[in-house]
Amino acid sequence: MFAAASLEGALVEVAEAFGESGGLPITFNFAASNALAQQLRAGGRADLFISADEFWMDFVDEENRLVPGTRLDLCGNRLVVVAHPDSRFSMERLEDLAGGDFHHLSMGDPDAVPVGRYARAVLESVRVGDGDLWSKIEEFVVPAVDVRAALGLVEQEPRAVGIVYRTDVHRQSKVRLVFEFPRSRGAPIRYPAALVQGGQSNSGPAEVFLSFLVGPVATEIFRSWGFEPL
Amino acid sequence: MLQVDIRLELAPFPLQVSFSADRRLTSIFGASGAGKTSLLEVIAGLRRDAKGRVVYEGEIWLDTDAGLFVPPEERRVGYVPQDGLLFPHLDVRANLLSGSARRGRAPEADSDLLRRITQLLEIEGLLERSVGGLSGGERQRVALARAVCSAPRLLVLDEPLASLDLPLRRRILPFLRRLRDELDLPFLHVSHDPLEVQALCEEVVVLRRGAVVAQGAVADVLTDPGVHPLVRDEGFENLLVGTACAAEGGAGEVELCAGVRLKVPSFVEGVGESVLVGVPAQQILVAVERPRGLSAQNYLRCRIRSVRSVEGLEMVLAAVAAEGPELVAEVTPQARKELDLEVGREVFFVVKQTGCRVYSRGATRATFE
Amino acid sequence: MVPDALSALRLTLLVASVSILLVLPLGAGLAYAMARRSFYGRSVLVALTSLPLVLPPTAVGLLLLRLLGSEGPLGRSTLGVDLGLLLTWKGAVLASSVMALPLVVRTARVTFEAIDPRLEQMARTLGHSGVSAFFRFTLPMARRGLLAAAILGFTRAVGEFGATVMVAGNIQGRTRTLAGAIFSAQQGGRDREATLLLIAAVLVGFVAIFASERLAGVPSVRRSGLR
Repeated sequence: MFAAASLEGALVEVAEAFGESGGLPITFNFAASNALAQQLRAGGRADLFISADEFWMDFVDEENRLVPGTRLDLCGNRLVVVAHPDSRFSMERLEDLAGGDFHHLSMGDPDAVPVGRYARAVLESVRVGDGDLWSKIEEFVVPAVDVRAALGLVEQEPRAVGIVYRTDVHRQSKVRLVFEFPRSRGAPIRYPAALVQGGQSNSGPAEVFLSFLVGPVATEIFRSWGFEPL
Repeated sequence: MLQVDIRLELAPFPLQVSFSADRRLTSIFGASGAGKTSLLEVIAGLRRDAKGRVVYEGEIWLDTDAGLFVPPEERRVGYVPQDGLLFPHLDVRANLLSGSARRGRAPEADSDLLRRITQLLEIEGLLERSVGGLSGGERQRVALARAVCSAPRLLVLDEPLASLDLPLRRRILPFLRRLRDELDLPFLHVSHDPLEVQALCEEVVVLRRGAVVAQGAVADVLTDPGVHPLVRDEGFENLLVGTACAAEGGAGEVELCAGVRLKVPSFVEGVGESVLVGVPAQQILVAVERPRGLSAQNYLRCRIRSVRSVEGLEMVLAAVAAEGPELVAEVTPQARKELDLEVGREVFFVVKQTGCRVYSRGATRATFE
Repeated sequence: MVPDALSALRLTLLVASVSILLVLPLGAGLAYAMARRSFYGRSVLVALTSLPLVLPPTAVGLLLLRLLGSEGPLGRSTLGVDLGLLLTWKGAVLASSVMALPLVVRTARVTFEAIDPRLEQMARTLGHSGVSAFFRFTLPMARRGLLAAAILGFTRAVGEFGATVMVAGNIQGRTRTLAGAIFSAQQGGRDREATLLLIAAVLVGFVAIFASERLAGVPSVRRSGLR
């Protein structure tokens, strides 16, 4: 199973619950959704793919690697701004990011990684003075290969702030939650899932697991990790 | 004057050497492995691990008690190692000039010295050559010239001929003598070849297993019962310096002293030039009266100065005429007894012409016995 | 796309050049000490300078991050000054220098070991101080080997990614070198850009290989002498 890195904690727990209920063991490949999509396009073999955004799921779909009719949305998420525990950075509204007291803005690569793409889309929609917020802070951006790497930089560097998912700091974290992106801003963050063409156990166990993922046990686990039900 | 009193920890035995060399031309003689090269390196300042004292011409180079060590670049020692050690990235001229840093003299003086030395060693034609293309004999002459061009106070030669084959050795030896005579430079010379020692030096210090075992005038020391076993390997060879007389056909003739001439194989030196002649002690017959009917060409009338028993042989040292050179002949104890060879007796040393070796700069025509 | 690729190429050449200018004198000095001197801690030094060769580049990157992080031994809190290495091109220079050092040291050491130490002693007897003997004789004799070491180190610096991305990040226009740009272009599915960068990398590689082959083809200064 190929899955977005932000799902790692929750999915491992879901897989354990699946195993306790008699399901087969599941092998995961967690990475940024764009990296997984590129691997699938290059012929990587998987039964199931969960992307952190529609874009990369569409990308795989266009390559005709998805089993038609199996695509569904799993859960939702929110963006947050985090900082090092020693940092005194604070903000009230998104516009405060412009001119904020930080050296680096750590986020997923805004050209590729979903968490970066979402953040960039929101920031581009915010008007500040004569331009948009993105163009004001773009020069501080340190692109990371996935959301974990973006979080890692903030954990190490007191002068960096980061934009990550709320679920990354929901249970425990070495960073401080500074600001939650308002729900009204930008497109909703959704995790689409689908069976992949050419998988080994598509019509059997993979399909069973996919329906387990939308069942009550998995939904409760996702909720406990801070994901939003749809 | 060179005074050495040092100790150096070496395997398998330590080098513990104490001597004082008064002559300007001194050889350190000994078998290979006796510690000769290490001793030279201590004198040149290339080893920092020696303890003791080295003093040259009143200047202290090493005194470990006083914590004094003069670095090699300030000792002005012209060092010629046995393999020449030319700088491979420089051509011959640049090699010769590599010591000019020390002289700090005007370029004209530099080029004068360079011209003189290259002429003396006959390497003018090699100046633009790369070092890699030189023959063994050329390399050694360039190494010599480089050391001399650095204007040293003492020339230190480590087996300068050892890496060359015998015919080449014979050809380079006269160059060394010429250098010695023309430049008036003090020599310290290391060798395991008694011939080289005789050819170049006045005084010899014998080293065995890291210690001095004898010191003195060359002919005395090399025929000393304690030293001779070291010489024995190659056999003792008398080395005579003569003046070239006419050479014609296959024969040459040199004058050893007034009225005493020696017929030898032919050579290239012109009349009046100095010629080196080697006569192995084993090649000399001793007669108590002038023999007749022999093919040998040379009958030298000599008076016995000493007779020494060395390793089952008798070494008869005799002088040719009153002022003439000394020669050593080897005889058996039985012959000594039968002929009654004792000090003061007049004898004839019979030497075959072809038993003589000529050490010539162009010794191509020199023959072996 | 083309300007981005050019900026990555320019930055790569800058980082690799500055790295090799730093690493060559340091590496040659270390190599010379290892080849000629015996000193306390020599084997530790040999192991330390070889370490980046055997460690994964990301391990080296993590090590540098720990050293340079604000609480690390070379960090802002400890030193009182900010070295300005994290997430800057100088950090990329540091990372690729560390990765290039073992290759430079090893190549230079072999070069120095092949030069007869007695040649330096010879220069001393000819009136040159130890320093002068090194610069006027040993260094010129080693020049070919040192040049080969420099090219090897340069190519290592050009190719370095793992340690660089951890210390300096992969910031477009600031710390994104060829290696980082190729990775990002591939991850973002920007195929044409990736191809363009690939061609640039191949060209740089070819030039370096030709240069080092030409140098390696001609034997460097050998042990001289007839002994």
